[in-house]
Amino acid sequence: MEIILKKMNGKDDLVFPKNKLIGLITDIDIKDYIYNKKNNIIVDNEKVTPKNKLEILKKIEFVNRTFTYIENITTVEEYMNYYISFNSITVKDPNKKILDSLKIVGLKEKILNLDISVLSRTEKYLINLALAFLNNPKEIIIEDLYTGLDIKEAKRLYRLVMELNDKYNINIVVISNDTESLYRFTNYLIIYKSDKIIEGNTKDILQDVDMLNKLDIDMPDIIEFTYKAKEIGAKIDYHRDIRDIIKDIYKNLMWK
Amino acid sequence: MPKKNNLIEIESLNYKSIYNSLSLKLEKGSFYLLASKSSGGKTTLLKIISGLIKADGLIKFNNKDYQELNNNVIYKNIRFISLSIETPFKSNTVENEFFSKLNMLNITDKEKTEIYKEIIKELELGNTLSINPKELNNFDKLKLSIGLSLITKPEIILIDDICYNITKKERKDIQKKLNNLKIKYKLTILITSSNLIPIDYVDKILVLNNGIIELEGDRDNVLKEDSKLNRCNLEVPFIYDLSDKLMDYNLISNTITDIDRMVKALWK
Repeated sequence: MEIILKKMNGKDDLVFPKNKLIGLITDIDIKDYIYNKKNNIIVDNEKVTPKNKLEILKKIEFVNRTFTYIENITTVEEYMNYYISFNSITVKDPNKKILDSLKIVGLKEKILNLDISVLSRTEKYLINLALAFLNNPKEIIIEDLYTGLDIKEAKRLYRLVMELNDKYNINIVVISNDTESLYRFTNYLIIYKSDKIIEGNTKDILQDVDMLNKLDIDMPDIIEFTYKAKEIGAKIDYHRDIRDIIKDIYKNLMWK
Repeated sequence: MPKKNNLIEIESLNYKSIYNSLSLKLEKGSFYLLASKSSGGKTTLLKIISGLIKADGLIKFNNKDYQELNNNVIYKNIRFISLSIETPFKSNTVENEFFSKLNMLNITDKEKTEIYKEIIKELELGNTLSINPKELNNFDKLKLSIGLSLITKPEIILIDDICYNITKKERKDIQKKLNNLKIKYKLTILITSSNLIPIDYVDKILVLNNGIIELEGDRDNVLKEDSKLNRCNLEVPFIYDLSDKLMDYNLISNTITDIDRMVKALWK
Protein backbone atom coordinates (compact mmCIF):
# COMPACT_ATOMS: atom_id res chain seq x y z
CA MET A 1 0.00 0.00 0.00
CA GLU A 2 1.37 3.41 -0.91
CA ILE A 3 0.26 6.43 1.09
CA ILE A 4 0.90 9.97 -0.10
CA LEU A 5 0.40 12.95 2.18
CA LYS A 6 0.11 15.69 -0.45
CA LYS A 7 1.97 18.97 0.00
CA MET A 8 2.78 18.15 3.59
CA ASN A 9 4.87 21.24 4.15
CA GLY A 10 2.96 23.32 1.62
CA LYS A 11 4.98 22.17 -1.36
CA ASP A 12 6.36 18.62 -1.03
CA ASP A 13 4.56 15.31 -0.74
CA LEU A 14 5.43 12.85 2.00
CA VAL A 15 5.27 9.38 0.52
CA PHE A 16 5.16 6.06 2.36
CA PRO A 17 6.27 3.79 -0.50
CA LYS A 18 5.08 0.20 -0.94
CA ASN A 19 6.93 -2.83 0.30
CA LYS A 20 9.38 -1.11 2.55
CA LEU A 21 10.22 -1.28 6.23
CA ILE A 22 10.11 2.45 6.84
CA GLY A 23 11.46 4.47 9.71
CA LEU A 24 9.94 7.88 10.31
CA ILE A 25 11.41 10.67 12.39
CA THR A 26 8.86 13.41 12.83
CA ASP A 27 7.55 15.94 15.28
CA ILE A 28 3.93 15.77 14.10
CA ASP A 29 1.11 13.40 15.04
CA ILE A 30 0.79 11.31 11.87
CA LYS A 31 -2.48 9.63 12.87
CA ASP A 32 -4.02 12.99 13.57
CA TYR A 33 -2.77 14.28 10.21
CA ILE A 34 -4.14 11.32 8.25
CA TYR A 35 -7.55 11.52 9.92
CA ASN A 36 -7.87 15.29 9.49
CA LYS A 37 -10.38 15.82 6.66
CA LYS A 38 -8.65 19.02 5.51
CA ASN A 39 -5.53 17.12 4.50
CA ASN A 40 -5.05 15.72 1.04
CA ILE A 41 -4.26 12.02 1.31
CA ILE A 42 -3.89 9.49 -1.54
CA VAL A 43 -3.90 5.77 -0.74
CA ASP A 44 -2.94 3.42 -3.57
CA ASN A 45 -3.80 6.10 -6.14
CA GLU A 46 -7.22 6.72 -4.60
CA LYS A 47 -7.89 10.10 -3.03
CA VAL A 48 -9.36 9.90 0.46
CA THR A 49 -12.73 11.63 0.54
CA PRO A 50 -15.40 11.88 3.26
CA LYS A 51 -17.32 9.16 1.35
CA ASN A 52 -14.55 6.55 1.14
CA LYS A 53 -12.50 7.59 4.19
CA LEU A 54 -13.81 4.96 6.57
CA GLU A 55 -13.28 2.15 4.10
CA ILE A 56 -9.79 3.21 3.06
CA LEU A 57 -8.49 4.09 6.52
CA LYS A 58 -9.70 0.72 7.87
CA LYS A 59 -6.69 -0.77 6.09
CA ILE A 60 -4.27 1.32 8.14
CA GLU A 61 -3.65 0.40 11.76
CA PHE A 62 -1.92 2.66 14.25
CA VAL A 63 -0.09 1.14 17.21
CA ASN A 64 1.18 3.26 20.03
CA ARG A 65 2.75 2.66 23.40
CA THR A 66 -0.19 3.94 25.39
CA PHE A 67 -2.41 1.23 26.73
CA THR A 68 -6.07 2.20 27.03
CA TYR A 69 -7.75 0.83 30.12
CA ILE A 70 -11.48 0.22 29.83
CA GLU A 71 -13.89 0.17 32.74
CA ASN A 72 -15.14 -3.31 33.69
CA ILE A 73 -12.67 -5.01 31.37
CA THR A 74 -10.17 -6.99 33.42
CA THR A 75 -8.65 -9.84 31.42
CA VAL A 76 -6.74 -9.78 28.16
CA GLU A 77 -9.40 -11.95 26.53
CA GLU A 78 -12.14 -9.51 27.50
CA TYR A 79 -10.00 -6.65 26.23
CA MET A 80 -9.40 -8.19 22.83
CA ASN A 81 -13.04 -9.18 22.38
CA TYR A 82 -14.08 -5.67 23.36
CA TYR A 83 -11.71 -4.27 20.73
CA ILE A 84 -13.30 -6.46 18.05
CA SER A 85 -16.85 -5.37 18.90
CA PHE A 86 -16.00 -1.69 19.50
CA ASN A 87 -14.32 -1.43 16.10
CA SER A 88 -16.99 -3.53 14.37
CA ILE A 89 -14.36 -5.90 13.06
CA THR A 90 -16.00 -8.64 11.02
CA VAL A 91 -14.36 -11.94 11.75
CA LYS A 92 -15.70 -15.51 11.31
CA ASP A 93 -14.03 -17.02 14.34
CA PRO A 94 -12.99 -14.30 16.83
CA ASN A 95 -11.31 -16.77 19.20
CA LYS A 96 -9.10 -18.17 16.46
CA LYS A 97 -8.32 -14.68 15.16
CA ILE A 98 -7.28 -13.56 18.63
CA LEU A 99 -5.03 -16.58 19.10
CA ASP A 100 -3.46 -16.06 15.67
CA SER A 101 -2.79 -12.39 16.44
CA LEU A 102 -1.19 -13.23 19.76
CA LYS A 103 0.94 -15.89 18.08
CA ILE A 104 2.16 -13.40 15.45
CA VAL A 105 3.57 -11.12 18.15
CA GLY A 106 4.98 -13.97 20.21
CA LEU A 107 2.47 -14.05 23.07
CA LYS A 108 1.13 -17.35 24.40
CA GLU A 109 -2.52 -18.32 24.79
CA LYS A 110 -2.24 -18.30 28.60
CA ILE A 111 -1.98 -14.51 28.56
CA LEU A 112 -5.67 -14.36 27.69
CA ASN A 113 -6.65 -15.30 31.23
CA LEU A 114 -4.35 -12.77 32.88
CA ASP A 115 -5.57 -9.60 34.50
CA ILE A 116 -4.39 -6.62 32.49
CA SER A 117 -3.09 -4.96 35.65
CA VAL A 118 -0.38 -7.64 36.11
CA LEU A 119 1.01 -7.32 32.59
CA SER A 120 4.41 -5.76 32.08
CA ARG A 121 4.80 -2.68 29.92
CA THR A 122 6.24 -4.80 27.11
CA GLU A 123 3.35 -7.27 27.29
CA LYS A 124 0.82 -4.43 27.07
CA TYR A 125 2.64 -3.05 24.07
CA LEU A 126 2.64 -6.46 22.37
CA ILE A 127 -1.11 -6.71 23.02
CA ASN A 128 -1.52 -3.35 21.28
CA LEU A 129 0.48 -4.76 18.37
CA ALA A 130 -1.59 -7.97 18.32
CA LEU A 131 -4.78 -5.89 18.13
CA ALA A 132 -3.47 -4.31 14.93
CA PHE A 133 -3.56 -7.70 13.18
CA LEU A 134 -7.21 -8.38 13.95
CA ASN A 135 -8.32 -6.21 11.06
CA ASN A 136 -5.99 -7.62 8.35
CA PRO A 137 -4.34 -4.27 7.71
CA LYS A 138 -2.31 -3.36 4.65
CA GLU A 139 -0.28 -0.81 6.57
CA ILE A 140 0.74 -0.65 10.20
CA ILE A 141 2.12 2.59 11.61
CA ILE A 142 3.86 1.80 14.88
CA GLU A 143 5.20 4.16 17.50
CA ASP A 144 8.60 3.25 18.97
CA LEU A 145 8.55 -0.41 17.96
CA TYR A 146 12.01 -1.24 19.30
CA THR A 147 12.58 1.34 22.02
CA GLY A 148 12.76 0.01 25.56
CA LEU A 149 12.98 -3.62 24.47
CA ASP A 150 15.89 -5.89 25.20
CA ILE A 151 18.02 -6.72 22.19
CA LYS A 152 16.66 -10.24 21.72
CA GLU A 153 13.08 -8.94 21.71
CA ALA A 154 13.98 -6.08 19.36
CA LYS A 155 15.60 -8.49 16.90
CA ARG A 156 12.59 -10.81 17.10
CA LEU A 157 10.20 -7.96 16.26
CA TYR A 158 12.51 -6.89 13.45
CA ARG A 159 12.32 -10.37 11.93
CA LEU A 160 8.55 -10.29 12.38
CA VAL A 161 8.05 -6.99 10.58
CA MET A 162 10.48 -8.03 7.82
CA GLU A 163 8.38 -11.14 7.28
CA LEU A 164 5.16 -9.12 7.27
CA ASN A 165 6.73 -6.84 4.72
CA ASP A 166 8.26 -9.53 2.47
CA LYS A 167 5.78 -12.37 2.72
CA TYR A 168 2.46 -10.65 3.38
CA ASN A 169 3.10 -7.26 1.70
CA ILE A 170 2.11 -5.37 4.82
CA ASN A 171 3.84 -2.00 4.91
CA ILE A 172 5.34 -1.14 8.25
CA VAL A 173 6.19 2.41 9.34
CA VAL A 174 8.09 2.77 12.60
CA ILE A 175 7.84 6.23 14.11
CA SER A 176 10.72 6.90 16.46
CA ASN A 177 13.48 9.27 17.55
CA ASP A 178 15.64 6.29 18.46
CA THR A 179 18.16 6.49 15.64
CA GLU A 180 20.19 3.58 17.07
CA SER A 181 17.25 1.23 16.47
CA LEU A 182 16.21 2.86 13.20
CA TYR A 183 19.76 2.44 11.84
CA ARG A 184 19.81 -1.24 12.69
CA PHE A 185 16.24 -2.20 12.03
CA THR A 186 14.83 -0.22 9.10
CA ASN A 187 15.89 -0.04 5.46
CA TYR A 188 14.11 3.15 4.40
CA LEU A 189 13.99 6.35 6.39
CA ILE A 190 11.86 9.46 6.15
CA ILE A 191 12.55 12.56 8.20
CA TYR A 192 9.81 15.16 8.43
CA LYS A 193 11.07 17.87 10.75
CA SER A 194 11.07 21.65 10.72
CA ASP A 195 8.99 21.47 7.51
CA LYS A 196 11.75 19.57 5.70
CA ILE A 197 11.15 16.18 4.11
CA ILE A 198 14.23 14.02 3.63
CA GLU A 199 13.99 10.39 2.58
CA GLY A 200 16.03 7.52 1.30
CA ASN A 201 18.00 4.50 2.28
CA THR A 202 18.35 4.49 6.11
CA LYS A 203 22.11 4.00 5.94
CA ASP A 204 22.61 6.97 3.60
CA ILE A 205 20.31 9.26 5.58
CA LEU A 206 21.81 8.55 8.98
CA GLN A 207 25.34 8.88 7.64
CA ASP A 208 24.60 12.45 6.52
CA VAL A 209 25.96 13.92 9.71
CA ASP A 210 25.69 17.55 8.61
CA MET A 211 21.98 17.11 7.97
CA LEU A 212 21.49 15.32 11.31
CA ASN A 213 23.22 18.18 13.11
CA LYS A 214 21.17 20.80 11.25
CA LEU A 215 17.90 19.08 12.21
CA ASP A 216 19.09 18.30 15.73
CA ILE A 217 18.66 14.56 15.28
CA ASP A 218 20.67 12.10 17.41
CA MET A 219 23.48 10.25 15.69
CA PRO A 220 23.82 6.53 16.35
CA ASP A 221 27.02 5.95 18.37
CA ILE A 222 28.63 3.95 15.56
CA ILE A 223 28.10 6.92 13.20
CA GLU A 224 29.31 9.44 15.76
CA PHE A 225 32.53 7.49 16.24
CA THR A 226 33.19 7.25 12.49
CA TYR A 227 32.35 10.91 11.97
CA LYS A 228 34.76 12.06 14.67
CA ALA A 229 37.48 9.75 13.37
CA LYS A 230 37.01 11.08 9.82
CA GLU A 231 37.16 14.65 11.14
CA ILE A 232 40.75 14.11 12.26
CA GLY A 233 41.68 12.41 9.02
CA ALA A 234 41.15 8.71 9.73
CA LYS A 235 40.41 6.75 6.57
CA ILE A 236 37.50 4.64 7.76
CA ASP A 237 34.01 4.25 6.35
CA TYR A 238 30.55 4.28 7.83
CA HIS A 239 29.30 0.80 8.69
CA ARG A 240 26.39 -0.84 10.47
CA ASP A 241 28.41 -3.69 11.92
CA ILE A 242 31.08 -3.12 14.56
CA ARG A 243 33.25 -5.86 13.02
CA ASP A 244 33.53 -3.84 9.79
CA ILE A 245 34.55 -0.75 11.77
CA ILE A 246 37.26 -2.76 13.50
CA LYS A 247 38.57 -4.06 10.14
CA ASP A 248 38.77 -0.46 8.89
CA ILE A 249 40.52 0.73 12.06
CA TYR A 250 43.02 -2.11 11.88
CA LYS A 251 43.79 -1.47 8.18
CA ASN A 252 44.00 2.25 8.79
CA LEU A 253 46.39 1.95 11.73
CA MET A 254 48.54 -0.72 10.07
CA TRP A 255 49.07 1.56 7.09
CA LYS A 256 49.82 4.60 9.25
CA MET B 1 37.99 -1.85 55.16
CA PRO B 2 35.21 0.63 55.89
CA LYS B 3 31.77 -0.94 56.38
CA LYS B 4 29.45 -0.26 53.45
CA ASN B 5 26.53 1.95 54.31
CA ASN B 6 23.49 0.20 52.85
CA LEU B 7 20.42 2.32 52.32
CA ILE B 8 18.22 -0.52 51.11
CA GLU B 9 18.70 -4.19 51.91
CA ILE B 10 16.52 -6.93 50.50
CA GLU B 11 16.73 -10.59 51.46
CA SER B 12 14.84 -13.60 50.16
CA LEU B 13 12.33 -11.59 48.15
CA ASN B 14 9.50 -13.51 46.58
CA TYR B 15 6.47 -12.12 44.80
CA LYS B 16 4.08 -13.95 42.45
CA SER B 17 6.87 -16.24 41.19
CA ILE B 18 8.65 -13.25 39.60
CA TYR B 19 11.57 -13.40 42.05
CA ASN B 20 13.51 -16.37 43.31
CA SER B 21 14.53 -15.36 46.85
CA LEU B 22 16.13 -12.24 45.45
CA SER B 23 18.71 -10.43 47.57
CA LEU B 24 19.96 -6.95 46.93
CA LYS B 25 21.84 -4.14 48.66
CA LEU B 26 21.86 -0.52 47.58
CA GLU B 27 24.66 1.60 49.03
CA LYS B 28 24.12 5.20 50.00
CA GLY B 29 25.27 7.76 47.49
CA SER B 30 25.61 5.44 44.51
CA PHE B 31 24.08 5.73 41.05
CA TYR B 32 22.71 2.34 39.96
CA LEU B 33 21.44 0.95 36.69
CA LEU B 34 19.12 -2.00 37.13
CA ALA B 35 18.92 -3.81 33.81
CA SER B 36 17.04 -6.87 32.70
CA LYS B 37 15.37 -8.28 29.63
CA SER B 38 11.88 -7.01 28.77
CA SER B 39 9.26 -8.07 31.34
CA GLY B 40 12.05 -9.13 33.69
CA GLY B 41 10.52 -7.68 36.87
CA LYS B 42 12.26 -4.28 37.07
CA THR B 43 9.15 -2.15 37.50
CA THR B 44 7.67 -4.52 40.08
CA LEU B 45 10.91 -4.45 42.06
CA LEU B 46 10.88 -0.67 42.11
CA LYS B 47 7.28 -0.70 43.29
CA ILE B 48 8.25 -3.09 46.08
CA ILE B 49 11.18 -0.91 47.14
CA SER B 50 8.98 2.20 47.13
CA GLY B 51 6.36 0.44 49.25
CA LEU B 52 3.64 0.41 46.59
CA ILE B 53 3.57 -3.38 46.58
CA LYS B 54 3.96 -5.64 49.63
CA ALA B 55 6.06 -8.73 48.95
CA ASP B 56 7.42 -11.64 50.95
CA GLY B 57 10.92 -11.30 52.29
CA LEU B 58 12.95 -8.92 54.38
CA ILE B 59 13.29 -5.34 53.18
CA LYS B 60 15.16 -2.75 55.20
CA PHE B 61 15.58 0.96 54.81
CA ASN B 62 18.48 2.42 56.81
CA ASN B 63 18.63 -0.83 58.79
CA LYS B 64 14.96 -0.66 59.75
CA ASP B 65 12.51 -3.33 58.58
CA TYR B 66 9.79 -1.92 56.32
CA GLN B 67 7.22 -3.57 58.59
CA GLU B 68 8.31 -1.23 61.40
CA LEU B 69 8.25 1.86 59.25
CA ASN B 70 5.42 4.30 58.83
CA ASN B 71 4.18 4.63 55.22
CA ASN B 72 4.94 8.34 55.35
CA VAL B 73 8.60 7.63 56.12
CA ILE B 74 8.84 5.38 53.07
CA TYR B 75 6.97 7.87 50.87
CA LYS B 76 9.13 10.78 52.00
CA ASN B 77 12.46 9.03 51.59
CA ILE B 78 11.96 6.66 48.66
CA ARG B 79 10.57 8.35 45.57
CA PHE B 80 9.38 6.37 42.55
CA ILE B 81 9.10 7.92 39.09
CA SER B 82 7.71 6.27 35.99
CA LEU B 83 6.74 8.23 32.89
CA SER B 84 5.36 5.14 31.21
CA ILE B 85 2.72 5.02 33.92
CA GLU B 86 0.23 7.90 33.66
CA THR B 87 1.72 10.69 35.77
CA PRO B 88 -0.88 12.37 37.97
CA PHE B 89 -0.07 16.04 37.50
CA LYS B 90 -2.92 17.94 39.05
CA SER B 91 -2.19 21.62 38.53
CA ASN B 92 -2.57 23.84 35.47
CA THR B 93 1.01 25.12 35.50
CA VAL B 94 4.40 23.72 36.44
CA GLU B 95 4.81 26.44 39.05
CA ASN B 96 1.47 25.57 40.65
CA GLU B 97 2.37 21.89 40.58
CA PHE B 98 5.44 22.64 42.68
CA PHE B 99 3.63 24.85 45.12
CA SER B 100 0.76 22.39 45.56
CA LYS B 101 3.37 20.02 46.99
CA LEU B 102 5.42 22.65 48.82
CA ASN B 103 2.33 23.98 50.57
CA MET B 104 1.93 20.60 52.28
CA LEU B 105 5.21 21.18 54.12
CA ASN B 106 5.39 22.87 57.47
CA ILE B 107 7.92 25.52 56.41
CA THR B 108 7.87 29.25 55.81
CA ASP B 109 6.94 30.81 52.47
CA LYS B 110 10.51 32.03 52.13
CA GLU B 111 11.83 28.46 52.54
CA LYS B 112 9.28 27.19 50.01
CA THR B 113 10.42 29.75 47.45
CA GLU B 114 14.08 28.93 48.06
CA ILE B 115 13.48 25.20 47.56
CA TYR B 116 11.42 25.92 44.44
CA LYS B 117 14.04 28.19 42.88
CA GLU B 118 16.85 25.77 43.64
CA ILE B 119 15.04 22.81 42.04
CA ILE B 120 14.02 24.83 38.97
CA LYS B 121 17.64 25.91 38.50
CA GLU B 122 19.10 22.41 38.98
CA LEU B 123 16.70 20.87 36.47
CA GLU B 124 16.60 23.82 34.05
CA LEU B 125 12.83 24.04 34.14
CA GLY B 126 12.77 27.83 33.94
CA ASN B 127 11.09 27.99 30.54
CA THR B 128 8.23 25.65 31.51
CA LEU B 129 6.82 27.37 34.59
CA SER B 130 3.63 28.69 33.02
CA ILE B 131 2.95 25.58 30.94
CA ASN B 132 0.36 22.97 31.88
CA PRO B 133 2.34 19.88 32.98
CA LYS B 134 0.11 17.64 30.84
CA GLU B 135 1.27 19.52 27.74
CA LEU B 136 4.98 19.14 28.42
CA ASN B 137 7.10 16.88 26.24
CA ASN B 138 8.42 13.71 27.88
CA PHE B 139 11.82 15.21 28.66
CA ASP B 140 10.33 18.11 30.58
CA LYS B 141 7.78 15.80 32.26
CA LEU B 142 10.65 13.66 33.50
CA LYS B 143 12.54 16.69 34.79
CA LEU B 144 9.37 17.92 36.48
CA SER B 145 8.77 14.52 38.10
CA ILE B 146 12.33 14.47 39.39
CA GLY B 147 11.96 18.03 40.64
CA LEU B 148 8.74 17.24 42.50
CA SER B 149 10.33 14.19 44.09
CA LEU B 150 13.11 16.36 45.53
CA ILE B 151 10.65 18.38 47.59
CA THR B 152 10.48 15.75 50.34
CA LYS B 153 14.30 15.63 50.48
CA PRO B 154 14.38 11.89 49.77
CA GLU B 155 17.29 9.56 50.29
CA ILE B 156 16.72 7.60 47.11
CA ILE B 157 15.05 8.26 43.77
CA LEU B 158 13.92 5.32 41.65
CA ILE B 159 13.32 6.05 37.96
CA ASP B 160 11.72 3.36 35.85
CA ASP B 161 12.61 3.02 32.17
CA ILE B 162 14.81 6.11 31.93
CA CYS B 163 14.96 5.81 28.10
CA TYR B 164 11.18 6.01 27.72
CA ASN B 165 10.34 8.32 24.85
CA ILE B 166 13.25 10.74 25.18
CA THR B 167 16.09 11.29 22.74
CA LYS B 168 19.70 10.25 23.30
CA LYS B 169 20.74 13.87 23.98
CA GLU B 170 17.91 14.31 26.47
CA ARG B 171 18.76 11.08 28.26
CA LYS B 172 22.43 12.03 28.60
CA ASP B 173 21.38 15.40 29.94
CA ILE B 174 19.03 13.86 32.50
CA GLN B 175 21.71 11.45 33.68
CA LYS B 176 24.19 14.30 34.07
CA LYS B 177 21.61 16.21 36.11
CA LEU B 178 20.89 13.12 38.23
CA ASN B 179 24.59 12.72 38.92
CA ASN B 180 24.81 16.38 39.96
CA LEU B 181 21.82 15.88 42.27
CA LYS B 182 23.40 12.74 43.68
CA ILE B 183 26.50 14.71 44.62
CA LYS B 184 24.73 17.87 45.82
CA TYR B 185 22.01 16.19 47.89
CA LYS B 186 23.89 12.96 48.74
CA LEU B 187 21.19 10.98 46.96
CA THR B 188 21.09 7.37 45.91
CA ILE B 189 19.76 7.01 42.39
CA LEU B 190 18.46 3.86 40.73
CA ILE B 191 17.36 3.85 37.09
CA THR B 192 16.05 0.91 35.12
CA SER B 193 16.28 -0.13 31.50
CA SER B 194 15.83 -3.18 29.26
CA ASN B 195 19.22 -2.46 27.75
CA LEU B 196 22.62 -1.14 28.76
CA ILE B 197 22.32 2.14 26.91
CA PRO B 198 21.84 4.53 29.88
CA ILE B 199 25.24 3.99 31.51
CA ASP B 200 26.43 7.60 31.63
CA TYR B 201 27.49 8.54 35.20
CA VAL B 202 26.31 5.17 36.52
CA ASP B 203 28.54 3.79 39.32
CA LYS B 204 27.14 0.29 39.54
CA ILE B 205 25.11 -2.09 37.42
CA LEU B 206 22.68 -4.71 38.68
CA VAL B 207 21.46 -7.33 36.22
CA LEU B 208 18.17 -8.97 37.09
CA ASN B 209 17.64 -12.34 35.42
CA ASN B 210 15.33 -15.24 36.24
CA GLY B 211 14.23 -13.64 39.48
CA ILE B 212 17.66 -12.97 40.98
CA ILE B 213 20.42 -10.41 40.69
CA GLU B 214 22.64 -12.43 38.42
CA LEU B 215 25.39 -9.88 37.98
CA GLU B 216 26.34 -6.86 40.02
CA GLY B 217 29.29 -4.59 40.53
CA ASP B 218 31.09 -1.55 39.31
CA ARG B 219 29.90 -0.44 35.90
CA ASP B 220 33.07 -1.12 33.91
CA ASN B 221 33.58 -4.53 35.52
CA VAL B 222 30.03 -5.66 34.76
CA LEU B 223 30.30 -4.45 31.17
CA LYS B 224 33.31 -6.72 30.64
CA GLU B 225 31.08 -9.76 31.21
CA ASP B 226 29.67 -9.74 27.69
CA SER B 227 28.85 -13.44 27.42
CA LYS B 228 26.98 -13.39 30.75
CA LEU B 229 25.20 -10.21 29.68
CA ASN B 230 24.23 -11.75 26.34
CA ARG B 231 22.68 -14.69 28.20
CA CYS B 232 20.52 -12.11 29.98
CA ASN B 233 19.45 -10.61 26.61
CA LEU B 234 21.60 -7.55 27.23
CA GLU B 235 24.07 -6.14 24.76
CA VAL B 236 27.20 -4.24 25.71
CA PRO B 237 27.00 -0.63 24.40
CA PHE B 238 28.88 0.13 21.19
CA ILE B 239 31.82 2.02 22.69
CA TYR B 240 32.45 -0.61 25.37
CA ASP B 241 32.21 -3.39 22.80
CA LEU B 242 34.60 -1.52 20.51
CA SER B 243 37.00 -0.85 23.38
CA ASP B 244 36.98 -4.50 24.40
CA LYS B 245 37.63 -5.74 20.87
CA LEU B 246 40.36 -3.16 20.20
CA MET B 247 42.12 -4.27 23.38
CA ASP B 248 42.04 -7.85 22.06
CA TYR B 249 43.86 -6.58 18.97
CA ASN B 250 46.30 -4.59 21.12
CA LEU B 251 45.21 -1.41 19.38
CA ILE B 252 44.49 0.22 22.75
CA SER B 253 45.92 -0.70 26.11
CA ASN B 254 43.01 -0.01 28.45
CA THR B 255 39.23 0.40 28.42
CA ILE B 256 38.08 3.67 26.84
CA THR B 257 34.41 4.48 27.09
CA ASP B 258 34.16 7.94 25.63
CA ILE B 259 33.99 8.37 21.85
CA ASP B 260 36.21 11.47 21.73
CA ARG B 261 38.88 9.86 23.91
CA MET B 262 38.74 6.69 21.82
CA VAL B 263 39.30 8.62 18.60
CA LYS B 264 42.23 10.52 20.14
CA ALA B 265 43.76 7.31 21.54
CA LEU B 266 43.65 5.60 18.14
CA TRP B 267 44.70 8.47 15.94
CA LYS B 268 46.69 10.84 18.16
